Amino acid sequence: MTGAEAGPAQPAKVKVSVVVPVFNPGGHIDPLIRSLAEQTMPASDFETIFVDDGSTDDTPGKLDRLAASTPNVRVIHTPGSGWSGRPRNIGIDAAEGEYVQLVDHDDELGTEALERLYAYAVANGSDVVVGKEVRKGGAWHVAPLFDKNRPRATFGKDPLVGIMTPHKMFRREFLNEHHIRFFEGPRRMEDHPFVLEAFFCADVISVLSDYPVYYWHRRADRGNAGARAYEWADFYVYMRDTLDVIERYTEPGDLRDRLLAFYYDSKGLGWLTRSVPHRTPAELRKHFDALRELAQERFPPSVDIHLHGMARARSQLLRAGDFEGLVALGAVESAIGVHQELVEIEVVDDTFRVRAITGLCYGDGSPLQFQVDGGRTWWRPPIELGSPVSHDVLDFSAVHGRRRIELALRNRRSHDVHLISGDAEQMTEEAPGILPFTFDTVFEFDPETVAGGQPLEPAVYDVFVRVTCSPWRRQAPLQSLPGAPQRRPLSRGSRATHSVVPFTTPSGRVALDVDHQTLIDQEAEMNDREATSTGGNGPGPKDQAVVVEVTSSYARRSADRVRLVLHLPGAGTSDGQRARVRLQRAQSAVTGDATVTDAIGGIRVEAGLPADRLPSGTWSIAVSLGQGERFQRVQARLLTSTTRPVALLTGSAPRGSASGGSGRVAQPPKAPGHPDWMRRAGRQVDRALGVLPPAQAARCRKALRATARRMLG
Amino acid sequence: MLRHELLSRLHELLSPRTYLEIGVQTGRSITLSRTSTIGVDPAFSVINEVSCDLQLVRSTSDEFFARKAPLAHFPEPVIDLAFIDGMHLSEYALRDLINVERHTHPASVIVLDDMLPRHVDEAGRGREAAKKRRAWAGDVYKVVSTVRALRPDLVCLEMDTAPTGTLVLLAPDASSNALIDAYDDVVEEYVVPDPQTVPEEVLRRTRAMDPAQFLAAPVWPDLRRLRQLPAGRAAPEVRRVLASAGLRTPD
Ligand SMILES: C[S@@+](CC[C@H](N)C(=O)[O-])C[C@H]1O[C@@H](n2cnc3c(N)ncnc32)[C@H](O)[C@@H]1O
Repeated sequence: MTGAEAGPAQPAKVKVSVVVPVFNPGGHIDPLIRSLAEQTMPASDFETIFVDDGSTDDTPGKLDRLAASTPNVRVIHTPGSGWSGRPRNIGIDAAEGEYVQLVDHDDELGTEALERLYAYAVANGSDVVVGKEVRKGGAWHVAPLFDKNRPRATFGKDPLVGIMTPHKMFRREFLNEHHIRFFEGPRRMEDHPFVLEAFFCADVISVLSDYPVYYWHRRADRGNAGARAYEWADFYVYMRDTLDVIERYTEPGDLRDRLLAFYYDSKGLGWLTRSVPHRTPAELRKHFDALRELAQERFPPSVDIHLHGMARARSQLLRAGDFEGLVALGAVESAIGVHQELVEIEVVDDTFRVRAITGLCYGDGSPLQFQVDGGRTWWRPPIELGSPVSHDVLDFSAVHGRRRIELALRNRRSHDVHLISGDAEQMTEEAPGILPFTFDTVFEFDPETVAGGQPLEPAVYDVFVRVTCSPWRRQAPLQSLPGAPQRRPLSRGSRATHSVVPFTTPSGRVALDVDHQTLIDQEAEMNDREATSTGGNGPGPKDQAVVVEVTSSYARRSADRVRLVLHLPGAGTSDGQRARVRLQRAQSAVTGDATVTDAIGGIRVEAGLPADRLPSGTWSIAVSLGQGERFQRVQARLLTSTTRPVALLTGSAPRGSASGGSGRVAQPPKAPGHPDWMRRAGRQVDRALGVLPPAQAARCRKALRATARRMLG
Repeated sequence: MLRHELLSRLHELLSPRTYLEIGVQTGRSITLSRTSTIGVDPAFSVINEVSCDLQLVRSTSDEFFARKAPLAHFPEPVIDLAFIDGMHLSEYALRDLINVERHTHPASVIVLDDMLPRHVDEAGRGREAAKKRRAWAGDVYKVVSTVRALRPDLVCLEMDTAPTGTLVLLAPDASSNALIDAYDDVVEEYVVPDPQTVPEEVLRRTRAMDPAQFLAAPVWPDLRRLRQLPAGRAAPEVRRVLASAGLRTPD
């Protein structure tokens, strides 16, 4: 590692330093800047250091202006070094915080990230805190590491190796004492040696899983050299840095071999097989040769024991130099996908029950097959595997038993994913002793507890099926019932605390609408907007929200609280009854106790919510009256700001603005004279007529329009 | 003089580069503008002809000001003339004033409507009592005493217009925090059940000025000229011009 001078320990001036290496992010840095401004940790408790690695876009000036106007932001400009190692080191050296949080320039932090990470770090005396990372863009991924909080994780036991991104919080003195820094200059995989070394040296590694801390935007056009084509030879040169760290910190033996096996497969064999469909034979050949050379040099045969069966087969082909065999196997493996047929979705006692036929199939749709023989289960590959492959790698007995079939609910806005294990019953034999990898699966979940014991927050959730038969894990969007009308509820919803309605998206997939988000969330795809609004058993339009009396309801700040006074219709209650008020905005929700008193014509609900948990923005409001009562939205929203008075706005939010040139008033977006119900009726008619041939449908439409005109005048 | 006439004459005399109107409704007041204009109303239904470069925003004023660059439609993000006539509850009007003033220059003029109701019935927070009188002014008159108490630096002129009286504020100070600092306590005093106790001075318009006399004051060319100066240099000049024309907050 490059020499960090471990001079006398500097006392920390702030709790956390956020270090951000920056190179030509353009507008992609704005969400990060916003998310830093919205942190619930007071600005005086943390600093942000942007280290600009010679950007050539308008970023340097933008950051300078930001730093000039924001006391807790610093900018360091350095000549371009070509990769993020050097700017990160410069930032760590300049940091004055007790902890250093590394963030990349186009990612985002959850609003409460720094506050929670720091509190967790202090509570556990952590050297490293791994906060839950959520991917935005690309396929979703749920690391098993984040299934629960792990205040003291053990490297080698807890599944830490899966999470080698540097997006973590490190105790600054810890990095300095152990001289842990990044390799500098344009080299790949610079984060692995750094994070590995930190994991090896740390006394306490803590994993914070109960809050999405880090939003990782995986973009194709990531800045720096990311878009460059891989030079395999180079790549494996840099991988040697990582392997060096493993060898430096481990004795020969199990742990070392397991770590080596991890890199051999995940960055080597697995990668090579996955790229088969996307690369030319010449590119694959280069990759093959480079990996083979590395294997001969750095991965002794003892490593292979720690590979799962298929990876062992890949390794056998590689070590034997059987390029064609490995490519053929790779083609089969990478074509494996999810097989799924939705049977039904029903809601019984507010519990969802989703039944589907699921499994894994090959590219042609035929199911994977296993042979049961002498108490063991063997994979029957659809092709002849090359001669170097030993028969024992086909023994899937252990793997087959550990298969997992899951349903995933992914929040469209926060990208947070909740998994539900299915109860899977394998379909019967196709021939004596031959079992298809196909299951009659029932997934059950209670929307009140499915989010790690918590209710689903208001949002639209896309539903996926994930099937794991290690080494193959495949996921796919759950397809709706054949012929299910788009944007319509698939079944009755549940409506305990929240209204949860499954519906079919315009692309024929299943999604869940929680608390009418398809209606309320302006960011939700316009397409899905009417999903649940037009009748059926779906939730009603948002007007269902409780009316708030305008003349006596208000909000004000009072010391460090925002005090809310809401006058609602309602029968007399016992004075002083306990209630709860919940404010919600994007991924954040703040809930507080409220008191209820009688008032003229209704009730008065009063709550004081912590102002520092309510960063600038528009918050929707819901009230729960009494123990166990469901939260009901009220027709009001709270506008918070650091520069303007706090405002309670009653009624429903208006939409859209109009801009006209000289002498012209642009029309508001609604078609004039067509009230909502009429446009809705029109859409319903359109749908009904959809079953007719176009010419006939047009005639009907015309006749209906004429009738409507006569009736309405 | 009708309040729309006052507004119309102000447009002529000031020839503002920009005009912001909160509360547009049918467009009866915005139709008077000939300059770059933003109108804000969550439920406008404009029926009047409009002859200006107009952006019509379908939003509450609070949400409008919460936007990133609310005044982006203007050639410059400064309000030369503002007409505050939105939600007729005092806390809303006070917020509108606070938010508008942030975007003004010392030579800007702020007009608030319905500040001098004619009867207690008209000045309720609820509209019930006002129904028998056809007009509802609301309790926005409370802003007058707040401004008089907290902003001695502002020139605060009540205008004897018909039907309800208006308030004209001169020499605004975009950097003043006096109102926003007091806002949270003031709200508590504002939100009280009807009927309201409207001060005699308001109902009887004892401090109100004849709008014709105000419009005749020899300040308009100076205000137009001073708009060109940076705020820091313009502020004392504006005060001097107003004082020598005898325009000051009456006792
Ligand atoms: C008295 S009318 C305005 C009349 C108009 N200025 C004129 O002179 O013809 C009040 C308007 O304020 C609008 N309004 C109500 N609440 C508002 C708010 N929070 N922000 C902006 N305008 C609001 C109403 O929709 C209504 O159209």
